[in-house]
Amino acid sequence: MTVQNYDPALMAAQVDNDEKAFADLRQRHFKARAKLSLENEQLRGSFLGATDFLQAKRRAVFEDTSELEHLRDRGEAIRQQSLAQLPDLLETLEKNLTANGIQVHWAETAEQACAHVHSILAANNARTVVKGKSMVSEEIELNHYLEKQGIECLESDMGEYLVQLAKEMPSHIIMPAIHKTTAQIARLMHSRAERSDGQPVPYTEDVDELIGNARAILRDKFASADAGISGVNMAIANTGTLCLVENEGNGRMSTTAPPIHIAITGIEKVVADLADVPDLLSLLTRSATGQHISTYFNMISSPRKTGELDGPEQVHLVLVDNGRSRMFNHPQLKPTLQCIRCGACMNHCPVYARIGGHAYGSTYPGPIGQVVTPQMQGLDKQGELVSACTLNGACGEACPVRIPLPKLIRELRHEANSTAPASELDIPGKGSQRHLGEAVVWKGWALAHQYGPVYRSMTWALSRGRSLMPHRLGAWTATRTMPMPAEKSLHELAKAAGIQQQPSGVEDPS
Amino acid sequence: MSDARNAILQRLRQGQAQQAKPVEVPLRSPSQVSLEDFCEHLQNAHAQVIHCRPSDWLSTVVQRLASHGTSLACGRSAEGQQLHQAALEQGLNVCWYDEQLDKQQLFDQVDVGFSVAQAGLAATGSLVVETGPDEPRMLSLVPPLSIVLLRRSTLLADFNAYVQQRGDAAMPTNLLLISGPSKTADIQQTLAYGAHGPKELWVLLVNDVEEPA
Amino acid sequence: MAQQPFTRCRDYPARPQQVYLMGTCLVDSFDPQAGMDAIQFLQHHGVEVLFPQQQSCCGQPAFNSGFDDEARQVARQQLKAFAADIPVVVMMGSCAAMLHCDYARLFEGQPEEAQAKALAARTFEFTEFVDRVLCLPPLPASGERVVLHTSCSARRSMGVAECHQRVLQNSGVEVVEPNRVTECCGFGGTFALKQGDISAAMACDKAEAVAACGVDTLVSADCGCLMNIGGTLAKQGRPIKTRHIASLLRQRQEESL
Ligand code: SF4
Repeated sequence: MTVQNYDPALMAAQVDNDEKAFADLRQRHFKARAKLSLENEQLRGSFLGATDFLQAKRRAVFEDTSELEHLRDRGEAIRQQSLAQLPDLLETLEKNLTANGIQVHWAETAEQACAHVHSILAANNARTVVKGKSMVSEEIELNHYLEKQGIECLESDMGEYLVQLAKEMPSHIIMPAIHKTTAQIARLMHSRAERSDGQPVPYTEDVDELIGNARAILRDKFASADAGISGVNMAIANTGTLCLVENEGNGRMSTTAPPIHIAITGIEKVVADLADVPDLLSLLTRSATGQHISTYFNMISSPRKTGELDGPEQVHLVLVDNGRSRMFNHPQLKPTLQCIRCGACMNHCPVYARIGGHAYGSTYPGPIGQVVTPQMQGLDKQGELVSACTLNGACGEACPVRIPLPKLIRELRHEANSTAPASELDIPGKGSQRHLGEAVVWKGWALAHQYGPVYRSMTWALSRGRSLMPHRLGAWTATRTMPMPAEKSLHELAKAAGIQQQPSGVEDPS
Repeated sequence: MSDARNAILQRLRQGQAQQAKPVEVPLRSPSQVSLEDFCEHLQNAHAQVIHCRPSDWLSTVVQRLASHGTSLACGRSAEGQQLHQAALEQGLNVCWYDEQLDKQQLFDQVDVGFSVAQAGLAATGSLVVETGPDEPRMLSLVPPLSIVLLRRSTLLADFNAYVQQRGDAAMPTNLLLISGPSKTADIQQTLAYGAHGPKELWVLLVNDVEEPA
Repeated sequence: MAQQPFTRCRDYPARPQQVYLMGTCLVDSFDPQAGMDAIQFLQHHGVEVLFPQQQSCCGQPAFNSGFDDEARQVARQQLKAFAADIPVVVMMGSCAAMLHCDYARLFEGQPEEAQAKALAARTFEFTEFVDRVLCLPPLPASGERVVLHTSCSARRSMGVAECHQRVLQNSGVEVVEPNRVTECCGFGGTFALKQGDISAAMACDKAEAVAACGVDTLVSADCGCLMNIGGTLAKQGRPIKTRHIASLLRQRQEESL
């Protein structure tokens, strides 16, 4: 295709600028990130467009709402049943995987998980790795770790690949490059992608050609990589099986072509039986992208067996805790672990639609990110996230496994302001968001609203002092007028109208 | 690191002690087996459904491939062997997927891979492929055109029906559900086919149910 | 299963002789006429309305900010004010949701737990009560058109979006809904102050969608949303007035006497 004003140097500069802008964003505080994102018209267009699109697709694929609600009941029940037996299921899973020839490794922390992966690679002299999509590997910052050890780790999911080329992070758990326009991607591919002969790819804005270029580069890598790393969508305890959901085929490539496959998963992803899988799969793909099913669903139960012609000779599973067993101990926050990482909550979140994934500054953005991230990294570091929610409930309504996300966000606000002594199993940074100023405000508020006479004199004063009301109130009046109290409160009007207070025979509680 | 294992399990057991018993929700009654749905889903996913009979599936494939002028690889399943034979006879460029074929060749030189599905799932338009010595994993993945044979008699309502049918049978190395050619929408939600794997999927639907009189 | 706030099926009582009205603190100070309109509307249909002077706020602002102790102190006062076993009709969806959905959590393990749950069970949002309990005959069409904004708590926690629509249609006005009708207006209580930029962006989008309807009255049963959207519209100089649904219903009732 012909391009007007084609200037490779300018393009490279634009790509570098995008990278700098991202790096700059990362340095900032949540509010500043949100503000920058809100001011970026193109970004807001991308996210609003994408979330509208994904919402519409989900609606279309769940046309029968009674089926949807029944499926969600099933999904919730299956996830809760699985969690109820979690330690037993993990032991069964380990036993059956081992019997199938898959090696199991346990990691309490991100650091331990990375070390496991590294030692497997090192023991096999593996220098090049292709990766299928894995949010847990993002969570533990595996690429970074391996690069420091001199191991090349190439993302192969198209979105992840682009994000890696751009030196950014995913902005969505299902569609990692959702924040980029085709034009940005065209510049990125031309400036940064390298074919196996060392040449850049020709400039194009045609999506089929862009994908074709990336395909050629990545297929060379699949054929030659020393190892493949993938995530896991579900692990089946009773059969010792790892399940992967994907459309592109890169997951199958990463887990089939190289001689070693390392799968990484959070400990919560286990289910008991194969019979638990179909409905969860259906909920996952329909909620995520509005597909009846993904192109591929791959259930891996063993490395290559004798007589087989392909598949890895070694398969490993790294089971990552990284705060999950602590969440498991919290009576209110435990449902966090029901999550199947479909991304529907972010697709339906009006805050996410406006600020985009990067503003959250965490691996998991959107509602589930607001719930999971503070529990993993601590309320002291990520506590601000829990305030970025209107508790409107759109996420909870979309969640295929009925995680009461708004309730969990509220619980986290409570934890963030808690004065109860912290125990070992508490969320790190509990109580850290409590500021004297706000605590005093709520104390005063409680006093004013707790006693009828105090409350009534306050509203009386408010109405009589209405002409003295400030016309500006911080953020509120920047875009809105100041609300004006009425001349008389409802209490006064009702009293003046002689409205009874209690049924006859019931005493006034004052 | 069994320390990590024990510490994790111990924390989980502690949390397990304080939980309520969750509810159970039964499966919904299975849907009907609909051939129309099956074909429609596959076609919507950009796959081609080729209707044929036990007597003519070989000639149908060979004919179509002849006009393609491409190289075909077969596994050693019964159908793979039949197709290999028929393709040879027609002078097509055909090879076995075996130890002779190295990985790089498979990536660079083979255009068409042939696989056989154990079952089809009508509700989602999915092909169930169990991999093993005669059914290699990469044949349905690496070549740009993937051909999968499915017998009409093995069509089931949905994935739940397949799971019930399997019962406790041992799992194969890979149990695959394939529901179209490889695709991505990662560039501004625009669909593109052939992201990494096959750009095309032909489903050979062999009608072994109602033979014409 | 654990909770199904979105597909609601709840039992409704027959038309009671008496109800409590919970005015809510926002209506109390900023739109008390809506409260009087609700009282007169209900009384007109033969339901005696009681208004305890001891009531103040449901406690939601503190609860949603994570200050449970403070919320509970205030909520206890409401348990006392609305102690008799008669329905409580609440002027705002979000406060109704606080009582109906969240009091159980707030009083979990507290001495008042049973009392709080009983109150939750007899709490109704205003349009819910009018639609499901009063079951009124329709009024003739008035030719008036209004834009309806349903708050997120009314829609999702209380599940009464349909009640909003039906009571308006039943009163003879034509209901227009803005684009992205189910989307939050960005109020969210203290969210509007703590995350002012995001809140403002959401409010501006909602105001835009409301203005695009080309109708000069915006109605809702939540004062917070009305202050948020209405304040944004006013700042932009758009001549769209805001009204509580109760005021509109009372007006229609008077017009058709
Ligand atoms: S919380 Fe629910 S909606 Fe969000 S990603 Fe997890 S499963 Fe999906």
